[in-house]
Amino acid sequence: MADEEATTRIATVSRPEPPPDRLGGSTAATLLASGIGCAAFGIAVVAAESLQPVKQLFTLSTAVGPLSGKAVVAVVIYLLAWAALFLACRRRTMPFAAVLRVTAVLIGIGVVGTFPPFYGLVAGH
Amino acid sequence: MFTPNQIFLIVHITVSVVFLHAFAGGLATLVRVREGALARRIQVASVVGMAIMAWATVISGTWLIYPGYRAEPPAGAALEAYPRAWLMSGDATAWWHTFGMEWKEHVGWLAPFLATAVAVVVLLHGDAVRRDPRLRRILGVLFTTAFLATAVAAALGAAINKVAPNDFLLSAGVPDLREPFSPL
Repeated sequence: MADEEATTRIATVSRPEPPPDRLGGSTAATLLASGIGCAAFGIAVVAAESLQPVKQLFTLSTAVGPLSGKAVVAVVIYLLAWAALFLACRRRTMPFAAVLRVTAVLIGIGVVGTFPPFYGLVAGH
Repeated sequence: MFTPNQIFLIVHITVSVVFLHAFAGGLATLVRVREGALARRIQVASVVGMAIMAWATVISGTWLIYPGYRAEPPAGAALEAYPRAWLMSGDATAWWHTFGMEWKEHVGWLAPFLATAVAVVVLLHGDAVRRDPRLRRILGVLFTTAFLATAVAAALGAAINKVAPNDFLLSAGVPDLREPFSPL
């Protein structure tokens, strides 16, 4: 029994439970960072398709084209945002509804930004 | 036996298929809470495995398969070995690149961010995930969004594979990713 309890705790971090309307800071940071990663990628796509200098800047590999830079930039922003949010929020709790709304909006920006008719419209293709 | 391009495609398709097929199992562990060490291990293995597969899918697709698809044909070359150029050469087929491949190459990149968030929260806060139905719902939505993004990319990829010639897979050569970029 004790053994089973111990194994169910593998890799979990035990902390005081946040109030019902709040979310643990590190969980909030992880969710928000995923939204930031999606939004960064969506914005990178729109920027590269709309502005030729950005497209050239993002072409880190001639073989892959601008997609190489869009991906690398989005991943770097994602990791930096995650680290910053984690350090800022890890000892706090965050309002559940606000984290949810902001994350949803950020993911929405990513989804819309990667849709060709949208960035085609923005770029005037 | 296999050319490097064929091996790259097999790797890319395999990891994406594993991702798509593991989704139902991963989601089930978020929807229905089961107690016990085995259930916990299955949940962790499912979501962490899916996150790894999501990264493997986009990285292999972007850096191993895509260069062969988008390679520029030399003057006078037959377009059958250059899928993007072949698609763009016809009014009826250009849409498969300008919409199909463009959406595929971009939307798939949303999946790893979302799948990683689910994996990290489950891994580090498994107790909270089991206790809190709201948190499980959020993770379920992120997981489903990651699945849908990958499903769109996979479906478009399969369709483009049917429409465009993919003779480049038979080529023994692979594009040099280290080739420096020279502005146009």
